Amino acid sequence: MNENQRYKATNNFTISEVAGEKVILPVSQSVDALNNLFVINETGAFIISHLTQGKSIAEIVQAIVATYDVDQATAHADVAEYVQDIVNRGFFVADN
Amino acid sequence: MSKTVNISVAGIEFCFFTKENIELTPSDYRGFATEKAIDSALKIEIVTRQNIPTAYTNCTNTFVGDCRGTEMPSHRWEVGTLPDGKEYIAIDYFTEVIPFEWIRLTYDSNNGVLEVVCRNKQSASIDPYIYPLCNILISRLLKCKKSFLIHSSVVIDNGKGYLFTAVSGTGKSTMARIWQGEGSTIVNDDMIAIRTDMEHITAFNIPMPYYIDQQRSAQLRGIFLISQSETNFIRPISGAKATLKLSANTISQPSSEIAAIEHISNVSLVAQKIPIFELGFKPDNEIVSIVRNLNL
Repeated sequence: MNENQRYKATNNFTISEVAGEKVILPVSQSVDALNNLFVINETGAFIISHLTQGKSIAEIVQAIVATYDVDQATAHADVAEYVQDIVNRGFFVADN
Repeated sequence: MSKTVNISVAGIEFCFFTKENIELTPSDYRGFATEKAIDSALKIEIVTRQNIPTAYTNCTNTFVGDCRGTEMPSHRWEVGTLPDGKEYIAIDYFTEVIPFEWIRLTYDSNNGVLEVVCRNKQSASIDPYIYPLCNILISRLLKCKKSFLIHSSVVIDNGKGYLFTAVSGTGKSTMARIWQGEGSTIVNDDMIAIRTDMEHITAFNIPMPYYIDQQRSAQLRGIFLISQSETNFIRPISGAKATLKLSANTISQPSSEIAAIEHISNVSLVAQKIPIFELGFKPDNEIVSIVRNLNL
């Protein structure tokens, strides 16, 4: 994954609160995308918030290292995996 | 010759009528037909068209289900909101099994017009409970009552309603038959309407396209997210995870942020009031004892 890549949110989801937890809900004009429901944990919310602010992968990794007790390599692997997942689900696209 | 049909499904009433020289024939909905007209019912006039009219434009909240090649009868449906606020449901059929080429219902809270283009232009009779029109209509009318449809089976056991939900092929019908074998009553083994706006969370059956049924309902006491397993087990689940797992089996058209949030709020209402469990089962009746012993 390109560390300098930035992403932008699509119109395919919204974030809501259910039972005190943040969840991603698909917004779709067809039946296909309707199983993309999932709970966002604290780290996920952190990543999504920073993506939405236009931060690159590298900047998000640095922010996580600065905020949480985690080493650079672990943070990078976690961010890359999470971002790839939400891109695959159609919630974010590369902002070229 | 019947020119008016009153139907009540999950407590939602609608009336089909026609002024044309067509008979409205009963079919799968027979057990849900009522003799008495209900003032508050959505009144839908059926009109025939010779040709398919121009599609609506400038609509919002559109949502499409393309069931060509994936479902029988082969069809494509679309719903949306017109600029004047009315809703519509339009369906194109791609199989000769259905006597219509195309239908479109345009409606508000009180009245509607159902336009039909028949394959046989000389049709003298129409079955108004057209699949999947009425189930889509029920789904959208339920939404207005903070309620929804869900792929599930429901049984009544000693007055208690238990709902079993999962994707197709997991065992909803099998589970219902197991309970029936132990003396319970099946409400439905495939699709259920849940009303959250009543005194109790209540599950209703809806007309099915392949057999004639009678209206049944049950106050829900437990919801089970079922899976096939080598051993029987039950474990409670709660919070957002429970709501999302339940929501995954519901029918919705989240064509906007508002629609998506409203729907999850409706599902969340149920999850807050009814205990939810993950249930793994092998197809034997031990699972009935396990659930009964929960004393829900």
